[in-house]
Amino acid sequence: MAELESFLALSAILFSIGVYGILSKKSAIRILISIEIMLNAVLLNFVALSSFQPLEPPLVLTGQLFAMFVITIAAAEAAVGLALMVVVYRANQSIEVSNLKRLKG
Amino acid sequence: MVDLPFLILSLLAIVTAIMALESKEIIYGAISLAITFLMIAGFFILLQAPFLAMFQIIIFVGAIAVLILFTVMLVGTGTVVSTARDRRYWFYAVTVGIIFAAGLLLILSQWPGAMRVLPISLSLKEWVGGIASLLIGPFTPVFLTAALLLTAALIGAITLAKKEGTPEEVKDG
Repeated sequence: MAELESFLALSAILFSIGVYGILSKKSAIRILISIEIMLNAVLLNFVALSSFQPLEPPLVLTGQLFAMFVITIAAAEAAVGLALMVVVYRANQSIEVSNLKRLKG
Repeated sequence: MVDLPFLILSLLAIVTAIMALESKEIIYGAISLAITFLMIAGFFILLQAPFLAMFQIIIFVGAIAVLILFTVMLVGTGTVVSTARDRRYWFYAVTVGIIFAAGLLLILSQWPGAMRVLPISLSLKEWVGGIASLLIGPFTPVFLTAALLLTAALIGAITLAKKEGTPEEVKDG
């Protein structure tokens, strides 16, 4: 069985891939994909840290319960974010974030 | 000592996560994002959280990845996104990503608690019962707030994506 360290290291690598994606991509969908990857890294962190705690049965599940709430919020975030993208595409015929300058002073 | 299932899953997860960002067609990116989600579900099974793995597959693979696929189809980014302009910030983004990963791994390597092994294994009954007793116990306010949040997100998404004007006008336009 793998140790806690390897799970946390993998989670750190996935999170950094998400950071790279957010910084380098211009398409709003790719940025949303990066956010989802980062959310998954966080989920993995929650579950790994909670499963490796030497606690009794109800309390050891707290981290996994938190992961469930994170999944809920991720679903809400994806729904609203993708609806926003459809609206932006209708208004601008493009979802490249560098084209959205109308609010720039 | 790292075992084989973990190694295979982590390799696939990292490769598909990079593929999701770097594939030429954005639709292949969305599909490989779904594979990344599946691999994370595999990690949940390794961590003795099968119920959460089920959740992950239903919500991330079943809902979010499909939602992204549908948005790609609606928006039709094949012609819109120019990959050439991504190149300008590529070097900075890779540098920041690598520094970020190195920092996190450095912090991790100095943490004394990092070498634990899995202490317990729960039966499925303890598992579902434990989740239920926490959810309908100390975490009830969070549970109710999550329900409200989902309702608000649903209404917000429908309001945003709805076309403006009365139904007759929308039919004409």
